[in-house]
Amino acid sequence: MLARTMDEQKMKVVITGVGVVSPIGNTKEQFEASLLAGRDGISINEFHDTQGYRSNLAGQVKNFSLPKTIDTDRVKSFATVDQYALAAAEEAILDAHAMQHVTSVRTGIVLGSGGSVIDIDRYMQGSLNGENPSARKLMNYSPDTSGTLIAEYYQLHGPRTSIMTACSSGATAIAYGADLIRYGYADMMLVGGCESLSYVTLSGFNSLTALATGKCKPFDKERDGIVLGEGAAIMILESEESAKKRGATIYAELAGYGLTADAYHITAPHPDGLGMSKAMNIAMTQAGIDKSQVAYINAHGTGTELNDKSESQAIGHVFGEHAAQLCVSSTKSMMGHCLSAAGAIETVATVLALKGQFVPPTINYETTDPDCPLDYVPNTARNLAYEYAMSNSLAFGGNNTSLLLKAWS
Amino acid sequence: MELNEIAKEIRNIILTRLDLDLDGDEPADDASLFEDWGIDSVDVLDLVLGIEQVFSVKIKQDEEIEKHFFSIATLAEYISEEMAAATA
Repeated sequence: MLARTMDEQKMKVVITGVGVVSPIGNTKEQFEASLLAGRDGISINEFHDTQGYRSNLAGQVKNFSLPKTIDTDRVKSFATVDQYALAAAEEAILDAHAMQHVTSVRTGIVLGSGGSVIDIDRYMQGSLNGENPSARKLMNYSPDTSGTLIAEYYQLHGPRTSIMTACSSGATAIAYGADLIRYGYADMMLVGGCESLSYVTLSGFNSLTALATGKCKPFDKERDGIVLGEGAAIMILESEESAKKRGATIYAELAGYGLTADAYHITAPHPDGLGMSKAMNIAMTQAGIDKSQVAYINAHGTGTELNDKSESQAIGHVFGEHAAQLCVSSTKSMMGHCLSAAGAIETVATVLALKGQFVPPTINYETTDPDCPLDYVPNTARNLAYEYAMSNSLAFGGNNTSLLLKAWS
Repeated sequence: MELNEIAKEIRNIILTRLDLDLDGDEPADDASLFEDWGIDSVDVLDLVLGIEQVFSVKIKQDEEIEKHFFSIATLAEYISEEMAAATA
């Protein structure tokens, strides 16, 4: 079914470094501590005037500054979203002890990015106010820009592209980056996603009435929508051979992934969650494991009525009786929905949880919904001895990505 | 409008609309916009917008355009000609 040569099947793609900027921490350490503590990173939206909007909350990155190791003279044209990505990239590369290795034709980057929509916001607003804003800022609009700037900063000469599949971009970028290594295009790949808050995006989700009127409550009976978030996460992927050659510490293995399309509706998921079910099954087939071996799923869990129901059904459908044994949590409850960065930030959360042998909670969980009958790890993180974890992203337009991670020993 | 007044206005447009790293050093009117001022192709967009707004002229995209945009002085001459042609 998945045409692979024996060599391609044998090669293991592993994660050797992570970097993250998020509403619950601007470093890997802060982020992991927040996951363990079930910290609520969502607060009153200080970024925008939300008068008349469904939501006045957002998952905002707080007290952000570029790492001291960054040469700030070289990043003057970086928009906020690019800075988040750069900070995450710097942390990931240093974490992987790979700074000497990245400048190479064998290192590339694939990012999911929303582009700098805020710069378009500001340009339009400034123009309407007669302020003559600089057209230069519009150059940051392209979602491809973040990857270009980072490739230029580190002189990455390997494969470079961007993934634009909305909410699953960050996850799909990880999957594609792994394949580029598997098929011999690169030895090392920076992969992940980035997003920063913007008025246009907030307004768009508000018009869809998709925003929660209060807190983000995934899988809860009283849930009524999403809270938007922002941030970036980047992981360093390499072949096992490359990692061992460098003496790198391995977090986990990307054991498999599944990608499917619902082909159903521009925003609503297929009510039976068939596309997501298939993606999970493909990921497990690729990894050569049985469904009973998966212990934790980091769900897409946006907090909308539709997503959480169809996602729970899909998990029930795929895992059958084993579904009741699964821990399923949504870290969006703590950070909000970070859009193009979400799949990447959540995969980093899953990687850290797997390595730390714990499962992060779904916070703000108060009332059980009969349509969502699984164990969502309510409110408090739990220690768990486990080997396989899954990170799922179900994007607008029914783009489903399921990543399967295996603990490394 | 006198040439030196036009030149002054162009200088003002450059300083207020473009985000240049000048370190307090303002090049002369006959200095190269690209080499000495450090203006690039994206800055030219903003410069053209500013000129068209302030002087109410239309910058023509022809083969002479590089010569016009060599320095503030050459640009001032070009704008002066265009303004005269518009009122003729």
